[in-house]
Amino acid sequence: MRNIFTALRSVRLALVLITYIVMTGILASLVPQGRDASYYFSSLSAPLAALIVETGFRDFYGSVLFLVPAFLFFANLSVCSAFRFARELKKGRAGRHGPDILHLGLVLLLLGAVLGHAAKQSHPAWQGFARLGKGEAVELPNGRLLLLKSLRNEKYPDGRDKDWVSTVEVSEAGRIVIPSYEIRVNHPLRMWPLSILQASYGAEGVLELAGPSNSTLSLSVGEYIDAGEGRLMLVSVDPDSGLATAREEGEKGTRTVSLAKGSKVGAFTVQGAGEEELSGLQAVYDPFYPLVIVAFAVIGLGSFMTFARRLGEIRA
Amino acid sequence: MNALPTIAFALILLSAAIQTPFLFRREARPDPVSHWALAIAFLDLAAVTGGRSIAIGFPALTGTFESLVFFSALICLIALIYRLQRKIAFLPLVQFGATIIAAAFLAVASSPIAPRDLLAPIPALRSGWLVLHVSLSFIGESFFVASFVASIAFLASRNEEKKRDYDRIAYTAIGAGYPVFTAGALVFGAIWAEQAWGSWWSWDPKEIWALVTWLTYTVYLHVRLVRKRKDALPSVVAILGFLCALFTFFGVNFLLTGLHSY
Repeated sequence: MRNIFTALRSVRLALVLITYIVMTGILASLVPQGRDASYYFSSLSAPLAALIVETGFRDFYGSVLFLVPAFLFFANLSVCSAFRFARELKKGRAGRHGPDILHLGLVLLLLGAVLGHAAKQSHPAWQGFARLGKGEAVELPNGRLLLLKSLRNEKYPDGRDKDWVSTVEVSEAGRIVIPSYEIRVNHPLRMWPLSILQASYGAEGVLELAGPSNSTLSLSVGEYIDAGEGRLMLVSVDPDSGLATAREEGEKGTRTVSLAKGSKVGAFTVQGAGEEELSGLQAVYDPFYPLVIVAFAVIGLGSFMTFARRLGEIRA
Repeated sequence: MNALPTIAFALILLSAAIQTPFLFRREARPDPVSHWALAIAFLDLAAVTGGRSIAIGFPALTGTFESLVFFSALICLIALIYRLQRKIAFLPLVQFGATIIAAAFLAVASSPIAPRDLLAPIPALRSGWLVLHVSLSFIGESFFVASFVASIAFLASRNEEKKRDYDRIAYTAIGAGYPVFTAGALVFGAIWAEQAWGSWWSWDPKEIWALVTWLTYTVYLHVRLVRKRKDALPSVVAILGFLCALFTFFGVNFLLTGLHSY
């Protein structure tokens, strides 16, 4: 037991592990990750492809090749920090805890990263992506309802995109929790443990339809509508000409049809075809977000204490 | 505005030319003029960055050309500070090496691989965290330039006293640059990534190489600080660290693709 402890707190072990992670990290950055086995066999020599596939190197950061040394490094860092902290405490050198605090921050960071990753894996339904138009709503995994009140694409004078902004309202069981919040790129909405990010922005073709009793309906590209003898899917829209292309699927087979203002679709009549702006919002689940932030703060404090003292020594 | 980088390049080359004869003197005495050329080159390049920032309404650090100009400016500033400070020994080769590296980066900036198009950043790049991420990364790496030159000089030198001085310069430069690089490349980079993409870390080639660079300098600090090695090993590690930093910047940008391919 004592030997294991001695080995775990050794700087030599830390150096060996860091060197291993550096060398394999370099190799992993050169080998495309996460592809099917067939990709490696079609683009590399058979022995090399077999080596990459059999060893798990194609998913290096999820394989034992990385996880075992990373766990050892975590253990090494933890034991080394605890040992060093106790030693400095015995010597009564309070001013020399900078490296301990820095190492503690790294331990917390690794913990936060691992726990955050595990939480994401165990809660896949808590993450997702939705494209919403103005006035549309989506139910969040925490049971709340997110309504897109308005959206805009801010532009530079040369016409390029500057920022995408979605103004949302969040309610829970009919009660408004957040009346209005502007989600921007790099400015997510935080509702621990969820974050809602502005991920994309775009326009999508839409067909405006008028139905019986003055009812109206908007059909987006990819959506279906009952067309009497079969069903019809909107394929594309040309906003300039106002024409739409749809695929009619019925008992007689499938055919492509062109739709213009006044065309009949089952009980509906086409009123027009155009584009609707859509905001792409991404839900991210990370209950350990605060832990990572604390870890960064601890790393910052530890770095400052360590290097300020060292540079002070050099200056002296 | 277009002539400013060329003027800075000429000033840096002039500075290097003035420094050259002093490299061969037995006594390590600084020349009295070259650092002023570096000071003007720094101000010139700072004006380029400032002017482009005003033009696009955002800190001009998001393109290859802008990054190289900023990096060259910082290296000139580090060389200037090293020349003016009195705490550690002045060795002309370190200032000369840093000057040559600043000129080399500026030469790359004027090549076709670094287009000068004046473009405001895309939405994902409009972040204060990104500005901290990029600027602090380059500040840290500009200290690594000094350690790189000092480490090469350490390996090349046969004079024990000079070796001690080169070692001290390398150690001091890494000691100053490492926490800044840690904050910029890793901490602020991760915070920005979480806000932009919803993930602190994505194992993207740029991230992996930044981590490789950071770990290499971590090895340096542990070899030099904890194990107190003062032989060739720390210098070799410091040289490898800077080569990793170079690959993180150039190699990943031009040879590998990933989330950082803007």
